[in-house]
Amino acid sequence: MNAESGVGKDLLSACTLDPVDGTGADQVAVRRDDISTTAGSGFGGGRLGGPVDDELRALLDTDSPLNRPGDDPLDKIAVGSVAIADDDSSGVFEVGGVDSIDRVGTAQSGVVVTTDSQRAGQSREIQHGTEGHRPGDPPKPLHGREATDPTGSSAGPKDPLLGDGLQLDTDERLVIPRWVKLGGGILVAVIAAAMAFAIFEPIQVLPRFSIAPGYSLLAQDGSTVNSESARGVITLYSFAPSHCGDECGDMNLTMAEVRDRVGAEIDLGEVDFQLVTIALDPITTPEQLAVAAERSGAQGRSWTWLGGEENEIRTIVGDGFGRFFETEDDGSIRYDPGFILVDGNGMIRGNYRYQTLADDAEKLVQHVDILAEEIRYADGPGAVAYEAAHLFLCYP
Amino acid sequence: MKSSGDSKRWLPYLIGVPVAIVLAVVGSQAIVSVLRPHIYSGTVIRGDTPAPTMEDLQFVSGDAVDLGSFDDSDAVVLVFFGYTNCPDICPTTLSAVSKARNQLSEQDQERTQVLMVSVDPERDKPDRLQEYVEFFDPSFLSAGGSEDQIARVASLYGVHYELGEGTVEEGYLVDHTATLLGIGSDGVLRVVWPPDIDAAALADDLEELLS
Repeated sequence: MNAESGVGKDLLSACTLDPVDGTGADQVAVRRDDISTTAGSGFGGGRLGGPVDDELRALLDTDSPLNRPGDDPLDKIAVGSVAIADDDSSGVFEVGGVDSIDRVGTAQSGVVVTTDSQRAGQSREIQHGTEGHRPGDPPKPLHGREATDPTGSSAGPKDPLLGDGLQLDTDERLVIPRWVKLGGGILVAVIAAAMAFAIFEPIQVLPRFSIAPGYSLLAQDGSTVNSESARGVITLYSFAPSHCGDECGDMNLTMAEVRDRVGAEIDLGEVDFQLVTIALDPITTPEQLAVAAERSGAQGRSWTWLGGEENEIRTIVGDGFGRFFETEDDGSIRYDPGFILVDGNGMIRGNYRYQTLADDAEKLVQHVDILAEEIRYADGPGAVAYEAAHLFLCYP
Repeated sequence: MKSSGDSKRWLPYLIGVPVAIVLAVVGSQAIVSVLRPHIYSGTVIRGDTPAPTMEDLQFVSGDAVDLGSFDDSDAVVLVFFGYTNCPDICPTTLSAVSKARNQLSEQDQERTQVLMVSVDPERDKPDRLQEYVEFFDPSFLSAGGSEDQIARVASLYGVHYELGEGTVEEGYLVDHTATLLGIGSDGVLRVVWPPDIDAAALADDLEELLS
């Protein structure tokens, strides 16, 4: 088997398996910037025995999953010695007496080996040159670097690959600066936080659907109430004919339940809450509204009935709030029962089709709570979080 | 005894750690400013309902107000309901809008159209109304209509107004909602700014809206 290897590649991604001394596969010679191993001294002699052989052979197998670019093919293998030869054998090194080899790689100038030094304070960086070196020549470095020696001495250049504690660095390995790792970590953390916010929705908001219509309508007490009076007040609107009887019973019960439960269960703080029912039939006197209010259980200022002329109601309820209603020939009104929740800025935050069950109250109360909380905390630093909640559609 | 080698070993950390901290802080600030949503100084509507039509109203030319014509130029339309005899909030708002518009790039200015609708049709005749808005900026447009037409359009834009007591000769005030409404280039009512808008904040919002 003969294949290419070269600069930056796994030293053993390709290998030539040639018996060195003819004794067979127990010995392997890996040419062309590859490594040959010997169990003894001298290149080409001896054999490795036992488990080390098998492991080394596995590494030399080009199909081995261990043998990938960038792997340390001889990582942590204890070997007696390692001889390194380039393709023309112009440089031969024998590394003897090392406990293990940490990394092996190639550099433009030749072969580099990193060994795991068992002797603290001794390290060398050796690069093997391919020029001026002939087979059999004693090993020599092209250049070396004396490493830190706690004793103050340094290893001499005599036999750079012999001796203990050789420390060679490959320069093919991609080194990521720490600041890049730090910046990347921060970016990942920020993105993860944003995703967690969007997924787990620690803050819930009600969507801002559209703007609520402006109005000026007659109230049951004879006063004129306009939409500006609802600034700063969470308002729950319902819509019904003023003469609505039992058929409106459940809807009125829901309104009453919401009024009572919001008052009892929710801490509105300084936020006001009110209920408004807009009569769908033309209203000309406050007395019509007063009767409707009494029938429906609307009491006091917390629940107000409002009414106006037909054109006004058509614009406000039909076009503005988007609620369907139609006056029949007999004067009866066909309509789509439901509720609309408006915040203190005049934004429609909820549009609820009425169900026949009274569980509408549960959802309405919950949403009033969410809205009140947003109003309380959405100023200052909370503004960013709440806008993010709107952006990420953190809706209940 | 420490060797010079010990100092050299720590030197990269002594330099690198503070640099890394500074870069991390600056970098995270930059990342947050990119990822953080723009905080408008008004209320943002995230629905997709098209802005209510104004076709019942007319420009000074007599042409019906067609918001769709602004879509063609990819413009943002700022709508304000006021009147020419307004003593304070109307001139203040229109001044702020003019200042904000002038802070935009030339290209963005061309894509920002201001439209004032009069809530006082009795006194605000078309020519007078247009002259009034052009005082703040020559590019501003005005629109009006009959009482019923104005009342309907105003209601759909969440605007309530009420004429005070008095006659034309005596003069009267008009109480009106003084919000500024921003219709995006997609024809959807996007932002509602409160009265007393700050010009710089509005300019920032407009840049975001136009982007």
